[in-house]
Amino acid sequence: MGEWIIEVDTTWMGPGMFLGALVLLAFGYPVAFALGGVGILFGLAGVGLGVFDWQLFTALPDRFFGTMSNFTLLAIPYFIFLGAMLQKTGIAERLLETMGILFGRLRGGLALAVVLVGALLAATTGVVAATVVAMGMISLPVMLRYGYNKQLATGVIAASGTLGQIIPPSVVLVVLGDQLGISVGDLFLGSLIPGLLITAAFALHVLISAWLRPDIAPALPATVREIGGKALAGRVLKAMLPPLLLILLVLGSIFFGFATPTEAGAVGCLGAIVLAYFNRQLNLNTLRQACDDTLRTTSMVIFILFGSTLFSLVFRGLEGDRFMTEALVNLPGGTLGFMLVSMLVVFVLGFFIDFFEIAFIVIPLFVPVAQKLGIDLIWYGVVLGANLQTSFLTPPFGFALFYLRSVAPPEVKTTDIYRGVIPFIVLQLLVLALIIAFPGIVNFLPSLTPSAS
Amino acid sequence: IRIRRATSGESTTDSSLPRVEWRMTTSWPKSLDTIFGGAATICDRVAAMTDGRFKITPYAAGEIAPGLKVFDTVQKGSVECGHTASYYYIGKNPAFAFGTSVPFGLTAQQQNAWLYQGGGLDMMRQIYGDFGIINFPAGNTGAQMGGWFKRQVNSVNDLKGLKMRIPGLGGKVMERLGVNVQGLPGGEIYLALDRGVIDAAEFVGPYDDEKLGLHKTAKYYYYPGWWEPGPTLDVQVNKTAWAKLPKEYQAVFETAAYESNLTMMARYDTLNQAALGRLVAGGTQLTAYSKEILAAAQKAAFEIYDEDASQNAGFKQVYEQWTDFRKRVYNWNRVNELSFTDFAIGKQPIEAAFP
Amino acid sequence: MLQLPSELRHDQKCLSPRAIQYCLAGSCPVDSGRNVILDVLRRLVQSLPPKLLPFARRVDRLNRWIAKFCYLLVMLMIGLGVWNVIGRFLGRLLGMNLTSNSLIEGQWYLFSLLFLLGGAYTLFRDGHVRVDIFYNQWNDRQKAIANLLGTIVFLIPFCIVIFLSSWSEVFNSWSTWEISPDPGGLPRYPLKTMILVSVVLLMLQGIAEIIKNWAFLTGHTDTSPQR
Ligand code: NA
Ligand code: NA
Repeated sequence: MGEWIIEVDTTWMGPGMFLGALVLLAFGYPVAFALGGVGILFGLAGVGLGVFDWQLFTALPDRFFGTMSNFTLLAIPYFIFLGAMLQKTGIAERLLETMGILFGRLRGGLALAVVLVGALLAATTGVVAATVVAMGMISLPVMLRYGYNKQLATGVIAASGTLGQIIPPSVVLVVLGDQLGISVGDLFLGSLIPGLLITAAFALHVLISAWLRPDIAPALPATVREIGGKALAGRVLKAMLPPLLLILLVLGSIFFGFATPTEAGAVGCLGAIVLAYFNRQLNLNTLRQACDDTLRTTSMVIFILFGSTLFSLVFRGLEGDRFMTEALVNLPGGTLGFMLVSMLVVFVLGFFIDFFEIAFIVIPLFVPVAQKLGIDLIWYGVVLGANLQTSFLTPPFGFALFYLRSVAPPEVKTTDIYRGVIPFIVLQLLVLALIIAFPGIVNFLPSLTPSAS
Repeated sequence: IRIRRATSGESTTDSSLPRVEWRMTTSWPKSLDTIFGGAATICDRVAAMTDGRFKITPYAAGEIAPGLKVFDTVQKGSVECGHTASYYYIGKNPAFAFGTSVPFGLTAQQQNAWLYQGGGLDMMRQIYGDFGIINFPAGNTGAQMGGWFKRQVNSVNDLKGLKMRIPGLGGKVMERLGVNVQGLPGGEIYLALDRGVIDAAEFVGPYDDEKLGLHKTAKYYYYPGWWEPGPTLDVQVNKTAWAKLPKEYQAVFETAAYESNLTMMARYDTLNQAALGRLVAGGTQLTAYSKEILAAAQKAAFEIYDEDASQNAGFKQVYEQWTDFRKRVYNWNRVNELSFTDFAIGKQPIEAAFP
Repeated sequence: MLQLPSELRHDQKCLSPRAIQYCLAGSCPVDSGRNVILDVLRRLVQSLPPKLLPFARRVDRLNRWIAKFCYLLVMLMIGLGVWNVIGRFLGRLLGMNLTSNSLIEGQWYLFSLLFLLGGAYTLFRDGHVRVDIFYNQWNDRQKAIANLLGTIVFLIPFCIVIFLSSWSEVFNSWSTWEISPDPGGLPRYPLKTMILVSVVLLMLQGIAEIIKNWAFLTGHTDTSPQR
């Protein structure tokens, strides 16, 4: 004689967390604590239903410690300070202005500069928070002042800031390579052309939309623009050369192996201070303000990671990952179905969960399936990287959007940012479709190296 | 919510053994399949031997806790058990070094002899016990390699100012020899070495190093990995959780750990030799540490042990017992193993073995 | 018995245990038709903020002061980062070890201190980013309500859970005087302790925000605590 057993179906709780976060975040309470709070609420509910082990929360300090000792994240305060110094001393403004003059009547010049600098910064840090915040500080005020459309300005910054995901050398690719069990070098090579493709797509988009709609990305006004050859040369020398040297210093110290990307950020900070000194802009007040920006923005970024790590711990504790594995294993539709669903899952997770956590949660689930379907892992890694990059941009939630919001002035509405990124998301999806349709874009460079078998 | 009649086998009145579910956090990414496989072996075998009633789920590093925090999570009971290496935790007690491997210490086989029969496991258990943990040897990588170098180092003088990624006690020895030791996480090794931020880095052995792509960043692959001649990996179990386990399950768990200790070594010995062949064929230059460096490193290592022993009574106790065992097992192996391998294996130069 | 602030004492006749019993039963014999309990609560809600505001201001001051200390940490972090680059470079030229693991670890220790100490100050400055699609359209009163509720439902539990789940780890670290396992590494126990300090500061600031929003909603302050 069997006994009666009462079963409460709790498999919905893992996926339910995403819905809960979606609703509760909309109330406008700070993302960091709302994410963490949702995790705690679901954790408590799970304890009540007997499916969540409260003890698991004691792993939290270990997870925090992992964030604290993550050497890569150190780039964040350095690049924020760098951005703040260049902005507060007016050096960034004069640099961008002078570039605008050099672009002459070419519309969209400033935005183009943002794309290029974004791609360069991407190639150095690969940390989205650092790039978006630094570029937001440096270029957003200037673009707004010269009459750029708010949506274009914010869209181009957020999108260019995420280029760090896909342009090598990127931390994201290193972690992906590690998780996929493939050579990081091959992954770097594989992502180079796609990364450049996306950059080119952004640049073209900026130029074309500025050409079609002159009002959204005007050239600098003639009064600012029209200075004679000699005065211009002097200005280029004075306003452009030093900051460009600074950028070269940062990039160079990485490429020539004097410094890790993180340390290069520190060198850049010192460079910015020295630059401010020679521009007679260095004073205690500027320094204090730059430090204050660094303190607040760094805390904001890391506490989002803390909230996110709490969220994903509960997600795992409620066996949300097991739920997803089962869903994936029973997927119909072969390779195409798998590609679609795995991309969709990563895309949705990218709403709330930090990249590193995503890599830990889902990549190990995907790899065996991908291998069974005979999918080339280097290609798959690049597609994942490009997809993740897009997910950080998609409204209403995306890390790049959060970071840009935090440094954008109040007159820029959050909806401006949301609308602004849409064309860039479309462009990224186009490139994504392109590399899915033509794997050769990814595989060409790795196939040239001798060790690839 | 649904209510149903229990099927036979899950009835609460059934007198057979209970259903138990554990979590096992590990220090390894799943991509290091051999070493993560050691954790998976335990879980698979435990499930197989208990008809799925005792279920342990292994988690990769970072899934529940970062790789180097396994000890902490097991100690607190966040998870019931973890698969890791004791020497990651020498910051908590320096004697944990002996549980895994120390520079110029024991080979895998000697390590097993010391732990299982030479009193080593008892001593390690005593130290673990202070932290509320019980440990079982559960894997060995065998002697590791001596790291990837961008330029050749022939003498101790060449080591001065060299920037190397090497953690733990091996790092301490290298530091004494003048190396500028850099503590980088595994994920950053490739980039740092590629860019020349560091000049050298060590990871595990051919099979795992190949996956990290280190051969694409540095040409010279040194041997032997004198700081890790036979590192033992541990499965650590929270003592409270262990005490709650039926004694049948305890026996099953212990047996599974034995099996893991055996199979990981076998897999590594098979995979590494094939990987090394591929690496050498791809242009990697196998290079031996010079006698001068080895001698200086051995001297420095024992200076460090002596210093630690003078500062820490717990370390001293293990160190003295271990030193005595090491001397005796070295003597015996010199007669049986070494004389044979010297003749049978050692005839041809290494360079000729991997043409 | 309920302890009431002095200005409510004149209502004492309403608060005999018997009266409360009646009130809970839904009919108040003393006060014609009004629910006394709710009345008392409303008075408490109205009268407490002025007593609590000084505490909130003190917490604000504390975290502002900590922020100033953090400015120094930022500068120190930059200095250390630069030194690690220069030192490594010079060290090779001179054949000396000018950098060490403790300096490299020092870099991320400072980084950790920065955000652990800065989290509460950032809350004070309203610097934690929000999804403000709806929030931005609300008036100051509605924002204050959202923040009051959010702090109670999200922030305070967040701090409590982290504190409760972290103290044993911190305790374990102190009891072994835990240090870094890498050569020349730094002690770990002070840094782990900072996790506790961080959430205590954050919780204090959260309570201060509750008080300030509460005071604003009850008309005791004119300026919205959200900037
Ligand atoms: Na998104
Ligand atoms: Na090793």
